[in-house]
Amino acid sequence: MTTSVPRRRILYAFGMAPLLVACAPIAPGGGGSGAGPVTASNDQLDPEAVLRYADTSSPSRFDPHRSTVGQDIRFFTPVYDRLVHLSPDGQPIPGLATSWTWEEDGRALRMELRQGVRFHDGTPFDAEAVRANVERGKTVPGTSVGTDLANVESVEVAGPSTVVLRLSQPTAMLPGLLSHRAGAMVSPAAFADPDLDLRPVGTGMYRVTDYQPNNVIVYERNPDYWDDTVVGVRRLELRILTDEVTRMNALRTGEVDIALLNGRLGEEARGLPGVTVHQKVTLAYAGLLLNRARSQFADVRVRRAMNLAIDRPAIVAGVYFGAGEATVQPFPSTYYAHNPDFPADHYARDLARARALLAEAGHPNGFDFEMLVPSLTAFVQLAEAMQRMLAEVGIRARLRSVEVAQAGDVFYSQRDGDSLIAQWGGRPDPSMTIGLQYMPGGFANPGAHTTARLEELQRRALSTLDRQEREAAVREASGEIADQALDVPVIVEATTYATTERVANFSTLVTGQPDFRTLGALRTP
Amino acid sequence: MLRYTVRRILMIIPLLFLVSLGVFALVLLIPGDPAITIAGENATEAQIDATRERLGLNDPVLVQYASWAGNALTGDLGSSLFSNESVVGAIGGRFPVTLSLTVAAMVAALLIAVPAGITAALRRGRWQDRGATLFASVGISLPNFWVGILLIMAFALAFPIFPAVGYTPLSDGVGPWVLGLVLPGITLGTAVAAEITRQLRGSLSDTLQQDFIRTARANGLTARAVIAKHGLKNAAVPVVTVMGFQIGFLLGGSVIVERVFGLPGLGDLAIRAVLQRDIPMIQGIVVVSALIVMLVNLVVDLSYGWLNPKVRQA
Repeated sequence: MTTSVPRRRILYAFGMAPLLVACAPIAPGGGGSGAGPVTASNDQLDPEAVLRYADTSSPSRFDPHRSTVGQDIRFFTPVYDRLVHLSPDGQPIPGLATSWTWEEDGRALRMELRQGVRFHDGTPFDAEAVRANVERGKTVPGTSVGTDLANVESVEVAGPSTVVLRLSQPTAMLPGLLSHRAGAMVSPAAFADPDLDLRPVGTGMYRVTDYQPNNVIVYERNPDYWDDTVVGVRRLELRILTDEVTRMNALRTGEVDIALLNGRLGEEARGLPGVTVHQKVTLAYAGLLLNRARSQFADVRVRRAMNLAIDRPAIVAGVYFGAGEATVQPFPSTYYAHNPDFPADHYARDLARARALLAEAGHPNGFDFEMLVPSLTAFVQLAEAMQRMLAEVGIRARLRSVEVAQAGDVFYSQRDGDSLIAQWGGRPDPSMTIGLQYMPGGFANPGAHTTARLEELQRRALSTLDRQEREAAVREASGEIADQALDVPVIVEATTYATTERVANFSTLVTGQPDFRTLGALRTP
Repeated sequence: MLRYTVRRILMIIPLLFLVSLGVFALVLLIPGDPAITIAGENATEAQIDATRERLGLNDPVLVQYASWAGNALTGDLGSSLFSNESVVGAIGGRFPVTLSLTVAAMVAALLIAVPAGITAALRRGRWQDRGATLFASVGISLPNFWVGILLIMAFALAFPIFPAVGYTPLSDGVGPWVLGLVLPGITLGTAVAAEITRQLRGSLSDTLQQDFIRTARANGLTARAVIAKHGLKNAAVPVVTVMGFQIGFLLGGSVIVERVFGLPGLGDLAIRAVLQRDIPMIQGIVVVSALIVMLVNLVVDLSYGWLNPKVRQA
């Protein structure tokens, strides 16, 4: 999905500094401003157009099963269809699988596959290709989707275009996982190509005709694409421009039509003639993650006091220039996992109550703790703002700077440091976020602390196959996380894209990536 | 002269060896383990170990170095640990950009510095001299990213004469290639221009006070001939030396200027390689850059022979 905080290292959640900064700020809810987003019907679109697009960095790898950064998905979707796609609000919808049904109490997932689809190299897409891809995802050296697929014990080819995924235990979030890198279908004929990282081969609406890492990616239309309703453009040129001002200048001078911007430039971009700014919250949230086995964080009163000490709206406005929405839970208000009973002001700043809770917990004079801060401007600013706010109730944070690439290792693996300023990149399914961050065995839960109720809700969410019941369980879990103040979330971040007048039907998914299936260019009159 | 040249060329070999060894040692000191990143985000300890083994990161340092150096001798600098792109290919793809930028910067610097330096030397103590000295001080102090942003605002945004970002290869036409290099060239060349102006002013005004200049004038040579033939050539040695040094500066400065103008050059490649701990890529870039600097120094040294016949006999 949007990002994924890698399990080993938050590394890339922050690792790619420019990217992170770019994904920072904006106003909640989304929609465009300035010129107003252009929506056009298919016959108003120019299928022969060339669109140019500025992004911040290349994918870590172009092999979806081995890419180490969750956000890479935005580069993959034009080339690689997944078994499952996502609707704009993050719901699983048919992709290369046209339908799926649970069998054997959730221990098997039967998927019907789209017929007549071919990979870019002519290899037919069929049940055998799915089996080969899942096998590869589980076993290829350096796989980053092995954990996503861990519960898949085997893939049975039940017909030329039917597969049955046999699971070791009910895994209701599997369709969500298959919408991301784990479900990306690579041509089996290209598995052995050592240059797969430079020349991706999928079934997607575009093929990559030129790729120079950290310079340019050229996508050209796949004339044999299975979905006739997709218009797209003849050529999509993605240029990697690391510097935010450079991307802005490229947009301003018309050298690109679409630019991923740093949120704080959103306001400026809005003032440009003919430019539309699209800001939409994503699944990435930032705040202070706590090791609840350390310092005084085992006590819920202490954690609530910390949450009450933070002035979220001030941070959203001051540090993020409004590019995001304040939050007390790990999911944005636009997402189905969000629990509406815990709005952003559930922990509105209340110093008196915070002090009272601290006194009740036996710390009338506050306490000291250590805050790890990855050395990236956005995190340092967030840390300093939180440090000051906490100090006002007597909680004294000692800031310890850690190198960005080390932060995840130090806090998660070595279990060093009481807390970490971090951006959690989001996952394609909310149960994954909950499992990793709040379950005892979760990689991103170094204190292995949880609550009995949360465990029960997570168990229910993973084993309930009924979608509505499952969503209810996830929502309740999110509420439990907020109620128990398991960490100190501050902001759900928004991505900021700006487009020129030529660009039509631009939108982003809740995961933050542009929806390439709708994206097009207007015919020039 | 020939022996001198050959000896200088041969000296490059041990120097490159030392540089590559130095870089290798430095890279080992950088904290962070590429195997963890490469193994993927959900990797187990065992998978990370396997990755380390596969990449040869478990081998003794000297073995790693020897295997790298052995391949390097055959022209194979390895592949990026991340994208599998060959290091030679990546550098080869980006070198023309940085080379173009460096040449553009040098041209811009000379176009500014030569007239400014000559004027200052001839009009010593007058307002032209003060103006050139002021330019030199300011030019050296200005951060080049800032100069770049100002130039973009003026000549790409307010008056859209030049493109604000990007590089057009020479193969797409000389015109677009030059247009795209004007602003980055001036940006990167300003500090160099300032430095050369200072040197040229000092050196030329010293030379112009020499006896042979007085003699040349007394013989009735035109002012132009005196300055161009007798003055500049004699004043050139320190200036050429400074220009040689500046090549190193230009390669370093290109890191920032490439970002500001979105040019896919070596500097940009280098930054990313360091951030990712992409060891073969870092090695390759440093060795190639070192080689360039050494070659430039060689050319500078050889040019002394042309400028000053005394050196030829030495």
